[in-house]
Amino acid sequence: MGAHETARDEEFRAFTGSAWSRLLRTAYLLAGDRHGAEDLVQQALERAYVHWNKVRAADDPNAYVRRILINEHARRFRRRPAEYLVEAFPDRPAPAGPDPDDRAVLLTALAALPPRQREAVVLRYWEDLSESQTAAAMNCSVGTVKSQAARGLAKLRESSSLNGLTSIGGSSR
Amino acid sequence: MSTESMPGNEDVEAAEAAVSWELGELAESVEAGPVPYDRLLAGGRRRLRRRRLLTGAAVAGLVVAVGGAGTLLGGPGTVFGGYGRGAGGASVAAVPPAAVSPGAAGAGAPGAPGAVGPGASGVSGAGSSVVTPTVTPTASVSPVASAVPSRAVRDPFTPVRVKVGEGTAKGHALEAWVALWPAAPTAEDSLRQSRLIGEERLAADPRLPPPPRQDVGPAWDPATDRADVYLVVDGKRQPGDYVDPVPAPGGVEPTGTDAVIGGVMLNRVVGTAGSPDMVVVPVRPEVARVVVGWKTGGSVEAVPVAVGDSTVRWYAVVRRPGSADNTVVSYAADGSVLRTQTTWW
Repeated sequence: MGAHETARDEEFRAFTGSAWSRLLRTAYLLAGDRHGAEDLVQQALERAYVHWNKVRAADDPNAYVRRILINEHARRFRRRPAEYLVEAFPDRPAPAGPDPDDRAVLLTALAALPPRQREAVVLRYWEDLSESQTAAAMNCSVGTVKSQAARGLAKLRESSSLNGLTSIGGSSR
Repeated sequence: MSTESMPGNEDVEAAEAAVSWELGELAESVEAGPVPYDRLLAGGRRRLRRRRLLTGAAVAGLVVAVGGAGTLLGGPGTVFGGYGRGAGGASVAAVPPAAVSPGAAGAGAPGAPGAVGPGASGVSGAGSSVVTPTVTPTASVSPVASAVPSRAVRDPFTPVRVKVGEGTAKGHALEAWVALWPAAPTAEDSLRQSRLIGEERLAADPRLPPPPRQDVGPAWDPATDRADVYLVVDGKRQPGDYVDPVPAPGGVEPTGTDAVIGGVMLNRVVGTAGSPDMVVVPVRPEVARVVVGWKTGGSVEAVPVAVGDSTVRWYAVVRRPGSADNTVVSYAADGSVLRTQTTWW
């Protein structure tokens, strides 16, 4: 391996070490499960490795790789129908009444969103990006971000399983 | 939250804050764990090599095409209108990295019925489940490292189905299957293939959206087969399969030190996302057998199985609950060790 490759590897390692957890969590919200998230991040980071010169030259390498991640997520949904990953064998009886696990409730509601709405919601409300930053990450207009985020948010609110969500936020904060 | 009335700004802001808070809670619940540097670097290098190979192949093909055209145009008895439109039937064309036989379309199910017995599976260690590769009666499939059958049997609309492993988990009989859909030679064929795959998936999981009608998507690649990896439990195909591209015979494949194709296909029935019941792994054809050493003791041996004429081999093991960071040793046919890996599963 040449010196150039070694330098690339070292820089890549350093970047990955700092970005891994954040990327994984974002990917988790997008993919809906741990394995899918790891797979998504791995694909994104492998692409980042290939285009490392562009990543390191970018004003914000984190934003650059985040954009790769979003592109990879969008590509997957263009490539194949959505998958519904289940945590348990479906022959088990459904639990009676509301699911006690709020995380599972939110994850289910997120998974029901179309991919672009999910991306907009995750980037706006988890990554806390501005509308223009989200637009850059999603490679779309600010108007599209506004509409996608608003629709996504509305669907989350409409979800009967999230009836308690706003009351939690509204009352406690 | 009330959805009866039109929400005002305060409602929206409250909803935004609530969603933001909940997303934060959800995301923070994910333990990042150690960064898999080696896996990431290996994958990145593999992609980089593939990119360079493709670039080199494209340049070489262009050189050949231009050189050939120049010869035809400039040489004695010049044939005008090269690149396949010469009146004399002369044509010059760069050969793509993977030529897919268009004649395969509509060829019907490949091969005659025939079952292939276990390759050479073995088990050791208490509690290990038997992993036995078998082949569906409808597929003409040879055992591991088989000779490549005729290209004429490659039909993008008729998958070759092979059971790559089986075992039990909590009383359920698990079978890991791979359905290999040969590369579609045209975008239209790719769409038709996508519909067929979608119909199968929909039958297994009615919650899935209907198969695509128009959008082929950017995934179509005449040098790439599609492998649908799914789990059959107690005789019934389960939701939650994985459809992933694999190199078609003749396509660009990982080379060099990456003797094993990375990545695992995971299926779960009674397991969870991070603890699947069954692990299905694609490997390169030089891998003759694999030994998984469980962290908690014992081991299981699996023999990678060929699926049709694909150069990718597959093995499957039933995961041992509670055992992570296991060791996987890949052996060549001569018994030499190709690679030793530590798994996260």
